[in-house]
Formats: sequence, structure tokens, C-alpha cells
Amino acid sequence: MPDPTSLGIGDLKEGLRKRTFSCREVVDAFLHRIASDDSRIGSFLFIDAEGARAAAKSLDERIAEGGDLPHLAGVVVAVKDNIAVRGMPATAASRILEGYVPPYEATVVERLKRAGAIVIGKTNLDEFGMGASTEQSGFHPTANPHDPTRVAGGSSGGSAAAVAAEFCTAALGSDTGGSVRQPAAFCGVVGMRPTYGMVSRNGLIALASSMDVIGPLARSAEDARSLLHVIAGHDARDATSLPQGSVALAPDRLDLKRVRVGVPAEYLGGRLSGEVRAGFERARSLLERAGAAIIDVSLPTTEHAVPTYYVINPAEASSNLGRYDGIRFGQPHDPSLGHRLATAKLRGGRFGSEPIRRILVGSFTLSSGYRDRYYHTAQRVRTLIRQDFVGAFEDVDFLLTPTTPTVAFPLGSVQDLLTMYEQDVYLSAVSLAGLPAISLPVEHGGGLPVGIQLIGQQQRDAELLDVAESLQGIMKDS
Amino acid sequence: MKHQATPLQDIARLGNLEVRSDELERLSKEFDTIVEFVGTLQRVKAEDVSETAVVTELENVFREDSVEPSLHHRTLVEHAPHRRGGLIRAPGVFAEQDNDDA
Repeated sequence: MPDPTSLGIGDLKEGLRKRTFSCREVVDAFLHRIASDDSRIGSFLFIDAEGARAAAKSLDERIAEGGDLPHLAGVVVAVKDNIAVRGMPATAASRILEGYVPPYEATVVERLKRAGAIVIGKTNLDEFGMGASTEQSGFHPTANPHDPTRVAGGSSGGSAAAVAAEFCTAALGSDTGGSVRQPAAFCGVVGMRPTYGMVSRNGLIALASSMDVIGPLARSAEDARSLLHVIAGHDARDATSLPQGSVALAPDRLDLKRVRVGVPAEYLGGRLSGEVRAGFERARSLLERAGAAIIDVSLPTTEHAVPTYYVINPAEASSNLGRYDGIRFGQPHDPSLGHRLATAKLRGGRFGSEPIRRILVGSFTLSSGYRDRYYHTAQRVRTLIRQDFVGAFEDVDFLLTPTTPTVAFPLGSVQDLLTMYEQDVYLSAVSLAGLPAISLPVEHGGGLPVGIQLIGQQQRDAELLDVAESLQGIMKDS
Repeated sequence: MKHQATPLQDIARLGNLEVRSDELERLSKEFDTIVEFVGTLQRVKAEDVSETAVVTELENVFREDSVEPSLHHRTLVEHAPHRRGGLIRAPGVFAEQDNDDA
């Protein structure tokens, strides 16, 4: 039997169809790998071996009966722990939600299960999605499978590491300011942030609601498309869900000779490391050789994206985190105290450092007397950032940038707050503008993975995947 | 301009957060660093620009005013850490213990 843990979705389905292996064998192979390797990676917060085996059994029965298999039959997925899966804890890696088991299922999980996917467990993250290394988890950090002395990136570090370590075929993450794309780049997998509103947020624990999206992490752009095809689409339970969001399953045959790719000068500045630059240059020259027009563009507001993000994110986060008061769910408040003390004590004691910082900054920038200076200014700059992209897309179809300035850094090495915030320097503008973007791993002749980012126009997620698949194809052949 | 006019404890109160006294100095320093960093936006000429709050131009999404299946209230109440007689027990808003906090 070939090892099903290393297969992409297409080969896995083929193996199941030909009865090379059963769903049960696939699930057992992943569980075996997790049991032997995850103690050194730390990608999971919860593993549902029993549930995964039961789901596999019922799929195997369907396969034995013959008949058509649903699109993701037997595909083993891991789900970031800020997304609700019925019967599994959902902590968002926060001690304030320790032990919380949501009574409902996120729309994306419902759709994955309906398509035959098997949820194997919940993955680690920076608490509530606040971070770029998964070191800010309230439970434990996640290591990079390519070098366990280094970070997996974040905040979807557990999901990226789980795909890279072959603990699952694909995974779900969430991306507010870069949290799918950055760990994907660090772990050498594909990670996509769909257009804002393309995928329902129902069942996603909110961080910054105007930017939060759920996105797939996978071994290839093709697999990312398979997942996105299933999870995208309108959902009445999310008021910001787009009315006509869908992603076709089959790629459109794309003639790269007719594609114009913009390269923004501001994304190639001094902070870009040599190895990431090498990976980026390789992707650029491969696209050029394939006939794509490479056009220099300028996004002058780039330098303002991270500060803008760090006003809007804490403002929205401080509101969203207001619900954790120990009254309706989660960890209990002290019933001997009055309301203000009981809730303030619980929150001060159970939130980690980063949520506390964001609640403080958000409460401040929204407070009377400072709101215009900070919050409203940031919302105005956000408009300028959007306009930059609109201008660029008049001349080009896609943008090509590095995903991160450097490869994965050693665990514990980034202590400075602003250095950590700057990890998302190539990512947060896209989030503020609500655009789709995908990070692809690219060979660069070095040891650790490097990612490049392709950015598309709103609601053209399928076209973005077309060009990503084409680029992956030519990278494989070269 | 920095935020010094507002002590961190007052901001923490806005966020309904108890900050331990041994953490106050570190948090104040970090808070200043962040506020100074985001303060660089003051340099951007954006006074006449409209604000962006929603990126997809959706507004006022309504659904039909009809009954739909939903979770049973009992299921939700069971999640509350403190309950009494099938109800959620909340801390008293006017409890005595809060007086010294005012």
C-alpha cells in the first residue's frame, strides 16, 4: 500500500476509488504519524481519533456499496481551533475558553463534512489569531516541521505545520492580517486568503470582523481550490457573506502569454532577505519565460499598511473580545464578586499578553477624544490603501510579491513587539483591501521554505487559482 | 502627542480588564510603543478622504422575518458556568464589592 499521508487530494481519491486503501487505512496512517511526530511539532490542540475512524467507517461502507463519492470523500482535514466543530473544543488557544465545546458547527465545517471530508482534530494558533509565530498560543508553541528549532509562523501555525508534517491532507486556517499566508510560506505549503465575504464566517471566533476570512492550507493550489470550491458560497448566517460567491472546480485554461503580472517596488525593499529574494526572482523569471508580461507598479501607501492594521485590528478585537465575561460560556467568573470586578479579574487573569495589549490599544483608540485621531484616521488611510490596489489593477491582472521578508525565524528569537507586527508587512494591505491572495512555496536553492504571494482582484478567486496552478505547474517542470 | 493624559488603569477599565500592578510598567511601555507606532498615520494626508469600514460595498442585509430552526435555549443555558433553576446566574451589577473599584 502506498503511503496515503503524502498524497494530494486527486491521488488520494484515486487510491480510494481503486480500493488501493480504505478511508479507515488513510485515517489510521495519519493518526499513526500524529502519534509518532506531533509531540515535537505541537500542531494539534485536540485530536478526535474516534470520530475520524467512525466517519471513515461510514465512508468505506458507501464505497463498498459502489456509487458516486462526494467531492472530498476520505480527505482528512485539520481545523484551526478558532473554528467551531460540533463535539470538539474550540478554545482559539485562549485560557479564557479552556474547556469550551461549542453547541454548533461552523458553516465551513458543515460543508466540508457534507462533501465527505473527515475532521481529524483542531490545530494550534496564536491566541484568538493574534500573532505571526504561534508562540502566543495560551497552551504551547508550534514548531516548524522543516526545522523544529524554528517557528511555524502564525497565527494558523498549527494548520500549516500539520499539512507540512503530513498529519492531514489539507487544513482550514483563518487570515485576518496574513495568518494563513505567512505560516504557509514558513512551512512550505500553499495557503490562500479568499476575497472577504467569499467564505462564511459563521462559526469563526471573531478577531477583527472587517478583515477575518477562513481559507485553505494544502499541498498544492489545486487542492486549495478543491477545498475553496466546497466552503465558498453565500451563507445567510453571515451578514457579510457575498451574494454570489463561488469558485469553479475545474481551472480555466490560462494562457500565461495574455497575463499581466505587476511587481510592486515597495514590496522589494531593504528588509527582504537574500533567500526570499532568490525565491521571488525565480517565480518572476519563470512567469516571464512562460510569456507573462511583468510590469513594475507602485503601491505608495504600503508603508502605512501595518500601522493602519494595528489601529483597526485592536479596535475591532477589543469589541469582539468584550463577550468573554465568564457569564454565558467559557471559564467562570468569581460569583462572590460584583459584575465589574468579577469580569475584569477573569479577563485579566485568563487573557494572554497579546489580547490584553490589543484590548488596551483598541479601547484607547476608540475612546472619546482619541477616536478621530486614531480610529477614523486609520479608516481614511484604509481607503487610500484600497485605491492604490484599484489603480494598480487598471494596468495588471495580478500582483506578485514575496509572502514574508525572511524565512522562518528561530523560536523565541523575536521579542520586540514591532518586529513581530512587521512580519505581515507584505500581507496586511491585502487584508485591509479585502482582496484574495495565495502564498505558494518556491524553490530557491536553500534549506528553509520560501513563499511568494499572488494577489488578485476582489471576487476573482478562481482566476487567482488559475494563475497559481499554472505557476505551480511550470515550477514543477523546471 | 502621546497618551499620557490617560493613565493605563483608566484605559484598562474601559476594556473591562484588571491589570496586575506588577505588569503595569511593562504594559505601559508596550502600550506607548504601539501608540507611537500607529501615530505615524498622522503624517498621511487623508483629511479629505472618505472612510472605509466595509470592503465589499454590502449594506443592510436582512432576511425574511420568519421562524427558522435554531438551537434550543436549554442547550445554550447549559454552557453558562453558573446557573440556577435553568437560568444563567450573572454577577450583581450593583454589588457591594465594586464600590472600592469606582
